Amino acid sequence: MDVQDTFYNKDEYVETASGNKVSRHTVICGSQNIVLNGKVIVQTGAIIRGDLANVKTGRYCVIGKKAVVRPPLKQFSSGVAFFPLYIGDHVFIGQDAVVQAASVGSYVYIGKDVVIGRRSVLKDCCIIEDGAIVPPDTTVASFMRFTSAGTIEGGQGNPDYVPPGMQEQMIDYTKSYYEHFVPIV
Amino acid sequence: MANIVEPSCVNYVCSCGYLNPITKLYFCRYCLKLRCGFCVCHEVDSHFCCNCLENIPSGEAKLKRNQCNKCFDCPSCQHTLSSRATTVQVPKKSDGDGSKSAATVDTKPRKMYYLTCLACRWTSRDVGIPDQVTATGQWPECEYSSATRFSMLMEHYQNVVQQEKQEKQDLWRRKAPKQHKYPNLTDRTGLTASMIRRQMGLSEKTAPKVKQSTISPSLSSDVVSELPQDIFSKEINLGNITTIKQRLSHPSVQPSTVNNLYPLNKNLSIKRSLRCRQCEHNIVKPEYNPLSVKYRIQLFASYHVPEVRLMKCGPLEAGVSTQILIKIINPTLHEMTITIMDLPTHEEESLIIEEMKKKSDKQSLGPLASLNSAFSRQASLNEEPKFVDQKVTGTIALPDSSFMLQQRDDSTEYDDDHQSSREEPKFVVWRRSNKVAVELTVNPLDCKSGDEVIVGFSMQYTYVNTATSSGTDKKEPQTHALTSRVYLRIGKIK
Repeated sequence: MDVQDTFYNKDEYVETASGNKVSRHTVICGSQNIVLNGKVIVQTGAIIRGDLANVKTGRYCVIGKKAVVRPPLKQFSSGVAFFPLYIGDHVFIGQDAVVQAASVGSYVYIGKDVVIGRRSVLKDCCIIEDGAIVPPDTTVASFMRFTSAGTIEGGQGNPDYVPPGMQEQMIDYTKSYYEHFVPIV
Repeated sequence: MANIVEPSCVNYVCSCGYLNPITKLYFCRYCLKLRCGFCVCHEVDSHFCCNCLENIPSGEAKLKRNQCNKCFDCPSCQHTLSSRATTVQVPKKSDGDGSKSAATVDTKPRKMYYLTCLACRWTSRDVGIPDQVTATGQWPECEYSSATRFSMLMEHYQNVVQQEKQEKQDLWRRKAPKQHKYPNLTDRTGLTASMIRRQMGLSEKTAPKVKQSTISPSLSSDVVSELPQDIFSKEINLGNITTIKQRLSHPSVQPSTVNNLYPLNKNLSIKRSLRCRQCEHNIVKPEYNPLSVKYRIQLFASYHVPEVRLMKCGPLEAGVSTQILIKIINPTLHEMTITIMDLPTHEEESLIIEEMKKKSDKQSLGPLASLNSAFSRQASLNEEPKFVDQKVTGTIALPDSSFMLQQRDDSTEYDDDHQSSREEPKFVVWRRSNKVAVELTVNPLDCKSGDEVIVGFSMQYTYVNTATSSGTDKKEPQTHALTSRVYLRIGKIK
């Protein structure tokens, strides 16, 4: 099925000059530390914790409903420290997902109800299946699929887990998601 | 393709007859055929560790038994282990008796590392592995009882292989003696090169004979140790017993209790390159760098074949025709003419299969192909073409004419004005650069409610081939009319 229209209430959403569409019903802390690089959609109920450390996303990202994006923390003997969280371009974060990764590459698909543990590293072109729990400090390499059973499968050139044209597919998907994110008339 | 994890509702028929979404298909530019994962040879392109993302050359990977020697998997849950640092108080090296009196004072902190699994909380301390001084420390290799036996067997069989190779070479030399045009002096006098060498006091040129190593064959014995007396009466703690998965992930040891679990070296991952089985051209070849997501060769079907997407479907009721809206996208840099036709009948399909079989037979008999297959490591087995395993449960009223589809142009995204000067056929709902939406009428065939409606059509399209290898006149791109069969799952009857 082609991407269907997602309707939103025009009063609820703020559209910035660079094309970001951010719901008013979100918790965005420390907005001076958050950079959304344009055409990013932040949907109702999402939480972005810019007060902990910098959060930076690329272009054409989708942050789903009630998703939590918070910088990762690391415990030291002297206390805890938060690290900045970088998210690449064309990243889809499903609803109710919790992302505490150290970095998320470009063209990454994160399903719904996913928990991404502290300081995980998601490389470009990987898929996290719906409902998967990624333990802390995990690296998910490019063209790998983190299954809901907790295994990492695939590899570049293996057509069964991540489509070989993942980059184009994610670009197309996030762009058409943005185009089909329209106000109710 | 809308959702990457959901199954696609538009499937294409591969040249072998399997249905696949376009994202899993490849397009061989030389055969001009769709290829799925079964119609291509999978070859290992490069090895890398998917945790530390280090590229490991294939020779080294073989030496390391396809394992990374820095990264470990949890023996309990097969997740990656990470190393943790702790500070321990280590007694300072100081002059003999002085340290005894002030043992508590004279210590210095030192960082020690242990491995822990952050998914199941297993640690290397659980099984009594001592902490290491360095983060990627020299973790002790797990020893197993049959190690020496295995290495002996390995050595023996390697010798056997080498010996056989040598014998074969000797046989060749004897069978085909060098026929020189002019017999030289040594030939006539019976003085061979090796004899001369020996006379001159040089070493023998030929490789020394591999000495035959002998190993004692394994013997079966009738004596089996008795089961312990309390095996049926003793209560067992299931928490201490390993699961089958835990045992099999360490095949050389196969620990039966959890206190024998040892960290496992992480297995390497591979990047694959794919090759068409028919023409042996590369279809996909990724970059070597494990971090790169680029390809050096990428002949995905989505770059060459018009993509069909289901946009909208009217309410489906048994016996009532509905309208569906499909979007067709031209991914190529050339204009396309598309004709939507009926699926081939059973007879026509068998003709197609027949022709394809003939073609593949011809190709495999050709001199070049046989030469190639002799040299390639993997004998290429062609996937047998077969009938499509999919019943159609609806008919499509075909559009009465073919239509044009513009080439892909990335700059149109930024254009404001949409030209619509062309005379459009009736079934074209809208058109925008390289995309067109087509309305089709679907008639479900004797369906009950809850049945899925599946329709299909053949799509003929013009394809401009810019591949330069075929033909003598390289400059001129050739235009072909190609056909793909498409099956759509449009939904369930109410």
